[in-house]
Amino acid sequence: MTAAVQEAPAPPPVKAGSRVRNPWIGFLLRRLAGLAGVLAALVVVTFLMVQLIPGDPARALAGTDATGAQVERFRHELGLDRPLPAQFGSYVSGLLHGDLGTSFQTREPVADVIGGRLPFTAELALLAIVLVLALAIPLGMAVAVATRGGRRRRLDAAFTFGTGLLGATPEYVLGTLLVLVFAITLRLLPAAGASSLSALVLPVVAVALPSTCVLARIVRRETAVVLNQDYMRTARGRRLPPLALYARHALPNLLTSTLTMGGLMLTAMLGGTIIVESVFAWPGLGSRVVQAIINRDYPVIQGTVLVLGILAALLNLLIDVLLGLLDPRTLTARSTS
Amino acid sequence: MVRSRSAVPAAALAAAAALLAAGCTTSSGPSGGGGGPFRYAVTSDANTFDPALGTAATDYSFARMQFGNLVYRDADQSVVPGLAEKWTAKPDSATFTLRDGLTCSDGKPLSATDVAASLRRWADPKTGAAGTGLAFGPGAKVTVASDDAARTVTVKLAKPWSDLVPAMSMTNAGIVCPPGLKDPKALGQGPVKGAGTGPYTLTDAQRGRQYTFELRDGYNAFAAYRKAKAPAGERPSTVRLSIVSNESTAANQLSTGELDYAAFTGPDAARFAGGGHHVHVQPLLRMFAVFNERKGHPGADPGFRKAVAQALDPAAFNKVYGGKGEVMKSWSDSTSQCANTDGSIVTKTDQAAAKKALNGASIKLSGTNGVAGGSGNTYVQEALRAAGAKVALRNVDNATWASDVLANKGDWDVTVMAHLNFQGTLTAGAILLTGPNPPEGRNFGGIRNAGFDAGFAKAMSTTDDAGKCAAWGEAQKALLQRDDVVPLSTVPVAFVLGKNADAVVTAGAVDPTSFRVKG
Repeated sequence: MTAAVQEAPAPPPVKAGSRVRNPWIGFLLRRLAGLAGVLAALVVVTFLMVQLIPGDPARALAGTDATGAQVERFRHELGLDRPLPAQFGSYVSGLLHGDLGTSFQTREPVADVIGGRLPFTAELALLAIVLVLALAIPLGMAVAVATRGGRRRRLDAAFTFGTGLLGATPEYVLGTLLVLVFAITLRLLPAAGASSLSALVLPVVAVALPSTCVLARIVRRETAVVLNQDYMRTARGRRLPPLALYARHALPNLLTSTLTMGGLMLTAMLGGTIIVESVFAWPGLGSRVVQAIINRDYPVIQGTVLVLGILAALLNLLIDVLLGLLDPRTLTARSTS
Repeated sequence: MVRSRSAVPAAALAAAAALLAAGCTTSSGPSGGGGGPFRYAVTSDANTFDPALGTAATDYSFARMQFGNLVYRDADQSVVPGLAEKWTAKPDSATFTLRDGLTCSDGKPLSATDVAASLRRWADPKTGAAGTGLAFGPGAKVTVASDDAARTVTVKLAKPWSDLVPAMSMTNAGIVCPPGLKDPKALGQGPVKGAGTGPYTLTDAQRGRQYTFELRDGYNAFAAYRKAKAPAGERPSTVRLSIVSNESTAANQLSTGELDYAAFTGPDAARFAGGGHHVHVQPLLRMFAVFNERKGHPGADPGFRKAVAQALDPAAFNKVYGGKGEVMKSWSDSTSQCANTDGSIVTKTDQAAAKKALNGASIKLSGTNGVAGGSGNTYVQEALRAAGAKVALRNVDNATWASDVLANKGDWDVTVMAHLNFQGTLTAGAILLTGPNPPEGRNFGGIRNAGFDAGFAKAMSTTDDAGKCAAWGEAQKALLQRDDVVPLSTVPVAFVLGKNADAVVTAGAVDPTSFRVKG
């Protein structure tokens, strides 16, 4: 048995006399109930929040030159002249039938709007998170190993400064700098658009780089803690090769915090790449929501926020399941998300 | 834990492979320079593909490509042939003679009956079309007759409206063939086979991303410009329109050769000065102050309006937007036919006099932040504060401002109007300054100016240019002397064409059907 397995978390203790139950059943029931609550809250909140946006959707749609009669005709067509409870009833009824509504602005089904944009946002976010994990974990671990016990202080300072600086750089600044260097000056990559695979490179890097720096710092700190554990000293004493030592004994103990953080980052990327989408003319969901807010396109705002909310909730559930697989103690602990 | 060690890298590899595959699906080849499609950018997606319903610049661009107009406007605002080869005009009617051999985009003949049906549908209030007030007059009754043998279409109005002929150049007046009229819902949501009458057909639509147009073989009804400089180069058989919301991004693409044309309202246009690109600066927005003249508001008092006009310096206002605009002497600039250029009838800046009248006054100022964040509104606020007034600024987005001010649902005293006057006519602004209050009419300031109304009515009752300008002169004088509006300045737009691109630049617009590729 390896040291890491010795350190593996034990299943939760079973009280004397109680029936032995699979902890997954309770865990999944709790999480599904939570998910249902989140869904219900999302439906209510998405409907009410658009009512708080000042401005008149009918006027926004009709244009500044429209007469009052034209504006009122639009209001009737959009169903905005009905009482709020009736509008809410229609909204919920539509959702129960799988209908997210129709865009006020373009008259497209909202499902089509989301279906056309979500793949671009998902592509950007998923590639970015893969890059973040692929860079941050080895980088953080390598720096932690290299600086263990106060060695290589200059490297430590350079890492702290570099990741701090890049991690704090706003995405629009980073994006603009990347375009300036790689598109305008060197002409190596497209400045914007989504017409080729190479067009993905700069937006993915712009999204991934700050998160990579943040996660690398977390991994470095976690690794430093793990390296000082007794089982790691034991493993080192057995003169295991470095790859086996760090990949098999240190890495698994970092994954809980890394995956939790990675999940939160991915959730943020799915809903928060608006600036990068704007800088790179990337046709994702974020820029469409901004356009919908400007035009008071209620159904698109509601549908997008609802779908992103559901995705975030499902992603959190997935992370919790992964954490449960990695560390069964989390099955009975309160949810981390 | 043992399970996870093998699962995580495998999952990561699978995800990476799937993403690479997904990335490949977005690829449609490089967008190279010469020989490829002509590429241009607009800042937002189309709201509708139905020319009659378009209300935004992108809608107009789509309509212009796909639907021909009876006439077009030249660089000097004069009317030139389009689908119609000639026309005769009276104040209350116009007869257009169509070119011979016109066809719809499916190759079927376009008859006078078809054109009349399209115009009838545009003019019908049930359609809810945009631009009809500007074309026929507010609440006008319109009849359209046709004669297929003579190839004529006659539009008749119950009341005179001399802008009828030039208004037929509006993209909202784009002629739709019968297949489009039969299915207006489909027309609004995308291309309908055989509906087009313009030079290009939309062959690929990727909403929110890009659209591809192909030139129709043998199209013979292009705008017959006389004054505009003829563009150099070949007409592209393919035009690709991309949605690029950020002007800096479009500027990056233009400078790297990924785009051939884009328009800029912000500072990015300066990047192309002297760099081999072709830059054409034209007025985009006409900015002027309007008062809420209803009872209970300070704007009801002519003395207050005059004092506000004295407090504002239009030249300083112009500098707020970069100083490239024109200081106006009316509610439109000097490129508009018959616009006033006489400074003597405009209230002059006199801050000392303004201080005497405005000291201690409370003013609710409203404006849209859609233009450079509303910096012009802030200038007006500070100028009025300098005159001693207490000014509460409501600097809000377009939709909120339109609801507050144009629909008159908000509490406001003075507003900075950012008028998007695509027609470049005095009429476009004038219809907002007279008639019933909202919601029945568009007179959002509640202006009552008999002299202006009389001059406006007279201008609409003659097709003679000299007589029209004389009447407009009376109308402008009446409005400016009562300080019902305070002219400020234009906010320009820069049309930037790539080094190997050219196009016809008419008053206030680039004609997307005139794009050319050089070399």
